[in-house]
Amino acid sequence: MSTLRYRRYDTVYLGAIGIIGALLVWELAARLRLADPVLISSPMLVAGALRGWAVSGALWRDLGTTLYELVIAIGASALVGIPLGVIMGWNRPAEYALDPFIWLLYSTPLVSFWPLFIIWLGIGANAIIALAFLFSIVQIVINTMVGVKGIDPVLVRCARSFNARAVDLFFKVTLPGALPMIVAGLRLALGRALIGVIVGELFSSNAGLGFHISFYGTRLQFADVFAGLFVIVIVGVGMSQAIRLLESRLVRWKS
Amino acid sequence: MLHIELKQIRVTFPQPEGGELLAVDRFDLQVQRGEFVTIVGPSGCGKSTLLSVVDGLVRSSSGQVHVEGMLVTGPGPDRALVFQEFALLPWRTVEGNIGLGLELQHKLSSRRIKELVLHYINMVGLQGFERHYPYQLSGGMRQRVGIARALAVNPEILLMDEPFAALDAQTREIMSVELLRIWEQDKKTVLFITHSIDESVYLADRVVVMSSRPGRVKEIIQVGLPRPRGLAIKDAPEFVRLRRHIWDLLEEEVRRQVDGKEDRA
Amino acid sequence: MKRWQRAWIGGLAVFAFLILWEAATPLGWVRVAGISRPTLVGGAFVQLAASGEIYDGLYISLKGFFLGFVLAVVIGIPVGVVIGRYRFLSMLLDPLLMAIYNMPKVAMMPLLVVWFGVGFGATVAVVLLGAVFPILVNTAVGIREVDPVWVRAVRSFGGSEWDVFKKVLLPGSVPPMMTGIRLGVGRGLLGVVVSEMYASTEGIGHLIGLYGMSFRITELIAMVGVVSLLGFVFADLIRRLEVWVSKGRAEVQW
Repeated sequence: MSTLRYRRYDTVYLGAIGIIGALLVWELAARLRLADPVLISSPMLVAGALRGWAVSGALWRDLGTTLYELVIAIGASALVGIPLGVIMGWNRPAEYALDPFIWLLYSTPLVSFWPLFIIWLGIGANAIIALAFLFSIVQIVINTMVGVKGIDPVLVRCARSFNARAVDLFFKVTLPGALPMIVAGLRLALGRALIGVIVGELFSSNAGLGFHISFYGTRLQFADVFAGLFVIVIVGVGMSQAIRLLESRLVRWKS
Repeated sequence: MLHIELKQIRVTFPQPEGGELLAVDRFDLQVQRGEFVTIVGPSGCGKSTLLSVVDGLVRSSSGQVHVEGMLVTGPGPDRALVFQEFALLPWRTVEGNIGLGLELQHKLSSRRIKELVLHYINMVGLQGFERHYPYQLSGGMRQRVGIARALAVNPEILLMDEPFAALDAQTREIMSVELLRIWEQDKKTVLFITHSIDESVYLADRVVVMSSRPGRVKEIIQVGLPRPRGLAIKDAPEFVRLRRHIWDLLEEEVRRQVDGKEDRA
Repeated sequence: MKRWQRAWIGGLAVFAFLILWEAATPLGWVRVAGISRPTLVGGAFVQLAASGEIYDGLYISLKGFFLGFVLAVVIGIPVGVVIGRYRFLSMLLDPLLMAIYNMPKVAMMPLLVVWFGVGFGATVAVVLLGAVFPILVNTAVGIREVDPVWVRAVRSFGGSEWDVFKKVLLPGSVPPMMTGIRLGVGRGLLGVVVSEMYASTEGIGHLIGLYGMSFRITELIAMVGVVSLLGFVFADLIRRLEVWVSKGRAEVQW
């Protein structure tokens, strides 16, 4: 079976069949009452909820809020995280000094910082952005550091043999060499930032996709909750695909 | 006219377990302007280290290198390195790589750099590949880029660190013919490291044979073969004789190295 | 010598951080109510430990975590192996899996508390959901990327499909599997804390939420410290396990 050959378009339509099949099973389960339709809703109901959400205009407000928080958080992470990663990759004592903090942040369930952010920054977008920032920055720092350290030393020797200035060494060798790792880090960081934003909105806010889910969840209107999850999936997949596109453009020089 | 002078060069490297490794010891050499000198030696004899010292990338523990009477303290525009690993920036095209050295020197306008790059692309025979990335080139073509990049900064001395070691045998021969063709045009001073005896004789005015570690000068051999040379010269009796002679010298060194290891074991 | 240097500089940096934190309030940079002080936090930690509050919370949280995580491993690895082995299945399920993989599972909290009950049930469910997909997907990738030459070698000596599984595919895909498990542990711990903070009356996450709402920063930070330590210990254990299982392999990745 595994030796069968598949053509390129097979992945597309088989994948589509997979998704449609799953939706069909879900719809049938609800129609045939294999599970309580109140609890599992159904694809048709979710589509209706999605439509209502969009028509009311609330979808665009919620989506806008979430995207805004996401973009600010990831932007701040990149702004702080990339230089930090470069420093750690270049300077060994700096790496050793920051290492315990990075490791701690990488392994801690970062939501536990949420009450602190609420106390420091108040309920609202600021605390959410701070949480998402914390979620994403570690990944960016680690990837940047690994990227900088992974640069072929012979390229650095080559630049040095041409008497390269430190600035040139950085912008013409270090940065372009580390770029693929940095962009991959951004892609992973986006996924983590999305978790941060959604959790923050889930806990306390008055707008955003997480808020939508939490609001209808407590009212047991699960079609609306699923609609919210659907939009979150679209945001997550869309953003990671966008960065993948950027990645493939940036690393055209790789075989 | 004396161009490069190495006096009593000694290089040591600190070892991770402590202690020091003596890589090169009491190395003396004088190279005349326009001379093509090759250095052969058993692997690990410190020949690449020696080249880095001449370039200024590595500091000798004692002894001095003078270029045109000036003490070498670091890399300079009068010397350019060609690397065994090619050391091309994978994200730059052929053009971009050849222009790298000129860019890093910040002396010329980007238009002038472009003109020069074009000139050297023609010189090494890479017309039509200007926009190719390194991964799209064969090994031989990559090293042509490496050579063009070194030549582009118009150095007085070309330092070549086993530049053809990563190439297959046939490409290697073609590249050494090409190198001589390019060298004949303006006869720069060349220091060329290799572990191929054939290559060392074919290219050189003088061959320096190094001892095994610590690297010292074992013997310097004058190559009297006429120039310009074609591959046919490898059949000349004089070529065969020199090759035989160097082979004997190196065999002695390799044996000594192996015996030394066995003694310790 | 290098390892020694790493520990020394790292320890010094942490110490410097604690000193700065301690000194920030007396020097008037911030109010003590805002960031507390390490000595106060240390005291609160001892108190919470002495009163047993920490252990009770940890017990509840870890129970939920382990049940959910074990389920995730038990489901994730076999399903991952099957999906990785059969091209047809992976083509069928890839887009679906990718969509779910990309969704923060903690967003399902409002559903899970109704489906599985507030507290323990929802916690187990969110840990399972969070951990199972990284394990499953990485296992599948590992199986798929095992060098087919090895499979051919076993086949050519008359090995059966079961031999191929046991002798080539499973051992060959251990490193990516471990990556999945490492990611799964992180997602699982996150799930525990979110679940307990979102709606529960016990566990470490609940305590964090409680101290947060009553603005008791010192106890709050002590609790955050407990959770951080837990994450750190888990991550370290996994890293050791990874080194151990990949002993003798060429690629040791953390």
